[in-house]
Amino acid sequence: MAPKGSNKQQSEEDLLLQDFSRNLSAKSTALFYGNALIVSAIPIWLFWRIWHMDLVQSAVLYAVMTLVSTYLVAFAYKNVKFVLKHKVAQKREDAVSKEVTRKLSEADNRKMSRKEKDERILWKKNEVADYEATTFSIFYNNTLFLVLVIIASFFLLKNFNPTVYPFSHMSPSTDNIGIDEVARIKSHHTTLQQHTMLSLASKI
Amino acid sequence: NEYRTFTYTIYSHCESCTDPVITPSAYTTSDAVISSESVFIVELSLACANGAQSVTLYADVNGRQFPVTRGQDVGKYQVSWSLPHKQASSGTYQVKFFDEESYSALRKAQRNNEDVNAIQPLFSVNIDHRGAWSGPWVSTEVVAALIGILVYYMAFSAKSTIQA
Repeated sequence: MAPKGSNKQQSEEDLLLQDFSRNLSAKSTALFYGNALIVSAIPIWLFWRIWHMDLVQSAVLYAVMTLVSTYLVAFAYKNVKFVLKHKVAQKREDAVSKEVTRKLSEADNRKMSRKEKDERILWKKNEVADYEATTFSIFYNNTLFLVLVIIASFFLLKNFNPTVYPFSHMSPSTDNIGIDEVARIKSHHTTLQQHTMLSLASKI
Repeated sequence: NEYRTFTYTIYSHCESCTDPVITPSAYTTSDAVISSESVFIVELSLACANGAQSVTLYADVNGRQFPVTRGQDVGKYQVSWSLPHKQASSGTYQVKFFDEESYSALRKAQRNNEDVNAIQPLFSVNIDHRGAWSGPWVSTEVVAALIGILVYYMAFSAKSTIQA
């Protein structure tokens, strides 16, 4: 009984750890980096056509700027998603549990213990919150990044040489991360507490 | 005596035109963003009943006089002038063309402060100036920035609702 019990607990803990960790699945990583690349490629058109910064002449600068910006924006996506995920999970918990209990047939209902049902609900909640937080993070960071690029390039740095622009436009992406780092540190403590409480509750 | 014949020879070069038949075309500046002043150009083909080919013409527009140049082809004439954008209002400009005789009469009337409108031009051409475009009221980058800020505000309020 003891090994079986501990195995079960271990899998639950693994699940919880996975829920509350900052690690992303491969699919999420691919999604984030793909989106970040597209969003970082947008200002290329701005620099090329509007400020006549030649593509071929400044190709190296363009490439470096796009890659660094891609990395920074993907990092910002990850941070915002982590911050939002457990909040979204809290909000969606009721709706998810209703849907999961509704989907179970009568026979399954009797067979499954409460614990198993809770585990299913938790897993489903985790999946829904993951997806919602991911898409919202992408939307939020994209708008913030593009607004900062437009404002910085048209209004703040109007009189500078166009080659300065790429460096300035990487600062919006670091801005994103700066804002999210602060939020992350604040929320880190609360999530740690919640994690420990939840794992204790599951052992009861 | 030699002087007299000399001046008579010069005088005979300036021909006068009877019953002029004109084919005018005009160009006016339409974009004030890329040009510093509004330019008006009037080109015309002139055919005279008496077959005169090198007619010296002068143009008068709103009290300003300009010489009319002869083009490469026979019977083609061109006059152009420019105005700062603010003074070049849209509307119809009447360009009066004077030959030597009427032009000297015009100058005399101007000097003596007589009514200049009483002098009859050889012919006149009306050109329409539609006005020059000086750029949009709100520049596109301002519009783009405002829309971006609006969308970001919506995203930010959604995020605050989630985190509340």
